[in-house]
Amino acid sequence: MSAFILIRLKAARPQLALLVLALLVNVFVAPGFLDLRLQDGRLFGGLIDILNRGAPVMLLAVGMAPVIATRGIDLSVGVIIAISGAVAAAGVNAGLAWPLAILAALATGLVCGLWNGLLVAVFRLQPIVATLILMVAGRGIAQLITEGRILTFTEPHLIAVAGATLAALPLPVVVALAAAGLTGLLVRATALGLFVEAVGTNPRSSRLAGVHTSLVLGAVYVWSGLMAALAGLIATADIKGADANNAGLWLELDAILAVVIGGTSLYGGRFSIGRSVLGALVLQAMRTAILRAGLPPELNLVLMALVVAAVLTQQSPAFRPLAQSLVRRFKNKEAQA
Amino acid sequence: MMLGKAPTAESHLSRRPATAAPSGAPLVRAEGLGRRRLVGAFDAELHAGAVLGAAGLLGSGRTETAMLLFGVETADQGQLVVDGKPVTLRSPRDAIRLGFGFCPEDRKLDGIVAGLSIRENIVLALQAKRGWWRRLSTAQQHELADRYIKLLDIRTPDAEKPIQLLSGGNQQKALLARWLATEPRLLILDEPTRGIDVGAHAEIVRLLEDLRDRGMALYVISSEIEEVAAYSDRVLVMRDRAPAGLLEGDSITPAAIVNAIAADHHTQGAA
Amino acid sequence: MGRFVNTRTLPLLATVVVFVLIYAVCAAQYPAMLGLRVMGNLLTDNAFLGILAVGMTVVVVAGGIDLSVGAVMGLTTVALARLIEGAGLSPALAFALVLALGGLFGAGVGAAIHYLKAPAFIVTLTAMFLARGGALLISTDSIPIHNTAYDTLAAAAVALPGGGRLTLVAGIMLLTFLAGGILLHGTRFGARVFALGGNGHFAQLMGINTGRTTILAHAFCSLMAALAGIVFSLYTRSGYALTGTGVELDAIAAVVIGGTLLTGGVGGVAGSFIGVLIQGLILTWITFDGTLSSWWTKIAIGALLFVFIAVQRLILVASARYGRSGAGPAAPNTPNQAASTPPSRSSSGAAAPSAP
Repeated sequence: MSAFILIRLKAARPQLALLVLALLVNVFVAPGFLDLRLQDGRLFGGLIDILNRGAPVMLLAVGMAPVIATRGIDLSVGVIIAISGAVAAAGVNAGLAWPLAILAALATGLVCGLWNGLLVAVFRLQPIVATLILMVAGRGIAQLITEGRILTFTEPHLIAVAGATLAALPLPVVVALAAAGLTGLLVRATALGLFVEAVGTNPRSSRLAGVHTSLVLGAVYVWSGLMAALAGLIATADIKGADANNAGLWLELDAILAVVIGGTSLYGGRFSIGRSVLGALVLQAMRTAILRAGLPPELNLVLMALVVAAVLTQQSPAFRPLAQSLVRRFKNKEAQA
Repeated sequence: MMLGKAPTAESHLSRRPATAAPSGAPLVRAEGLGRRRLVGAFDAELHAGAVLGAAGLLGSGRTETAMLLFGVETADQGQLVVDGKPVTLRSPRDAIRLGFGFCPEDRKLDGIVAGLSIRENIVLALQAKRGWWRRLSTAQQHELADRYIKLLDIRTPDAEKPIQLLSGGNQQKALLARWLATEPRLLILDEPTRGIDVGAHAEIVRLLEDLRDRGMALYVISSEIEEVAAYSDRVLVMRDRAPAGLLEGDSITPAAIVNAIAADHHTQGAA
Repeated sequence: MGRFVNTRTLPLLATVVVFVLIYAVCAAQYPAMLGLRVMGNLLTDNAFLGILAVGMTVVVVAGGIDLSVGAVMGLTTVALARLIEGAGLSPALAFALVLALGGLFGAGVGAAIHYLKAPAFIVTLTAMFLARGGALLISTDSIPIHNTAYDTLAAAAVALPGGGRLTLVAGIMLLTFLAGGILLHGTRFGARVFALGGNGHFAQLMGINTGRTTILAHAFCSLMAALAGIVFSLYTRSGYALTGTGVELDAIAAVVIGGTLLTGGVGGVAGSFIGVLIQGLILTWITFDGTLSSWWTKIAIGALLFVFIAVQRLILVASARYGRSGAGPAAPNTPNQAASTPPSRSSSGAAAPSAP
């Protein structure tokens, strides 16, 4: 088992290096960053803060990674956050018991995912097109539920989704890590991971080998919708209200970037839940560092763009031979000297 | 025994005695099977321990017959009878459940999953047959892959190499391994020896003969007429997306096959 | 079959029918909407969207997509405001500068897509972050533009009968559509764009310089985004970094509703023009109604998008099934056809679940 973890860690070296780099910047701009203290049974500190703030994007990345591995994309996760949050808020405000409101929100995510999955797997639409439909219409649906207002609520249990503590950690962190663990188990302890990677690499061969390609395709979108609904619950509980306009805005991009930084190719194939979670944490650490340094938060957008450009360059088929020839030339020079 | 390693020189390209021709109830029978705009109605019988060859020009409908037999396309006329019971194949999964396997013509596009390892490519069909829930353990996968690498003499240092790095012949053997792992009753092969070096070519022909002798039903589509004539018990000749004849027993000669393929062109020439 | 169910004409025809239907419903309910006054306003209010849609059409026909147009538009308005208000440049010089920068930006995006062999949407997504972040770094506040020449340009209009006005802004949009139509359907560049979007691999085999075509298509798209920024700043007489947040979706919706296939190779700017008008009409109708909330616009556009994509898909499936050989290229479950169809290398194909 430990050997297995070591292999995984070895594969995640680039992501870990990026994360350490981003954390070092945090330490540099805020010297007390690494301090952890226990207060009222809950851990506080910079690291916990990054985990807590990063929980929604971690959840989205966990759902997005298998989708991207099937050569797909889910542009609708941002609006699923808004819709599921609106459903939960409207639910408790209408007198629904909080467990039911949470279930309703999760069910909403499932239905959204099912819609996407149906369009991609059965209707055979391009994923970017299929999920664009919900992305365009979804904000309107969320606004329809909240009637255009920010729907605030005071239901303490729903608020606790973001505020409660479990095992000395904020509940969102526990939820995100548990979801990541469960997803990892689901794809690696069953054959789903193999099927997802096979379908993403060569859907025709996979179908001929007997893989139920449409079921695999549909399932990854349903799972992505469910993860987005979880993220929506956390985001809504965090501000004690449902904001149909801004909840989850652009978060689909964060999720895609997290998965890309996690080393999953946008052309499908190999994927890793763990590395995608690391990617989400890298993004959050960057964001926190910029905030702590007192730099304009807008810089974050530019930095994110640069990180992705670097990852894309490194992944690109044209770059590898170029880099290899450069390394060879460098070595030759060294040998001559 | 070692599959495909029988070194008897005469087994290659030599006809079996006609007495070994199949008899009794067939494993699979196609009765007027066809699909509009794909292939015209054809009959075929596939017996355990026998080879049905399919010959014809490129685009004559040979591959399409395999697609209907494997559920890649669903037939809209005729019926397929397996073990005496009529069945409808809606997808390859239906066919695999009945114990069929299919090595397609285009290895790169329809066969290998480039990017995945040789091991993953070999276990894919068996894993799909078991379902996503009953995962083959990593140890089982390694055991399976190593066994078939040895059995079929796939030339690779290890099973974890990406499959696209293998030569064409070794890719084809890995695909055969994928299906042999499911222990099929009927194996459909579309141009199993195309684009493969001479050594691997002979090995694959020997392997097919071995599989036949061990009681598997084979449906082999091939452009290598000499070869088809040598190992087939019956030969279905296709022309213009429809059946053009069925050769049996002693009537299977390369010349007879060529005649059946070209018959249409002769009449056209005379007209 | 081909004469009646044509992948090229039917989507466009459907768009025109939908437009006429919506217009008829509008006019029946609110006769005031029939006048040239409302039409003039419709053109002015949607000028920036129309210009964006022209650029987007070219990129989508080339088989790509551009998610950065809204951000480039926002960056343009801020840059204009800074150049004119801060640096004291004349509007003409400032316009030339931002247009040149827009074109260069797009060329860079196109080059990244081609040379990194990365999917268009992720590269343009990165470009969107870059442009939006850059705009916000210039200024997070709205910068008003006080310039007499600007005011004159913004107010310039031709009177239409019935009290309507065709503003300069609307005129620019109409001219852009004309220019886009000529570029796409009347030049060799346009033919190359269609070839690239139809099948990048074949385009390469035919000797088309796919890299150059990709770069030029994206340069044109960003140039149009910069022009849309100019038009928008004339419209609001200010520059604001968050201008155009999300309009890339509206532009894509207009292009798709206009009958251009998101898979590339089929389409045109005429449909996109009607796509823009349909969106404008729905918004106007909801404004006229007064009781309907604005979010119904998004739901209606989403629904329309779905219907049009579904229709396109059905046409593709039908033409593949009943086409000449009976073995069309779109059927994903026919392995034998693969031999004759090399894998598409178009940049948008990346996101497809199966080989197109």
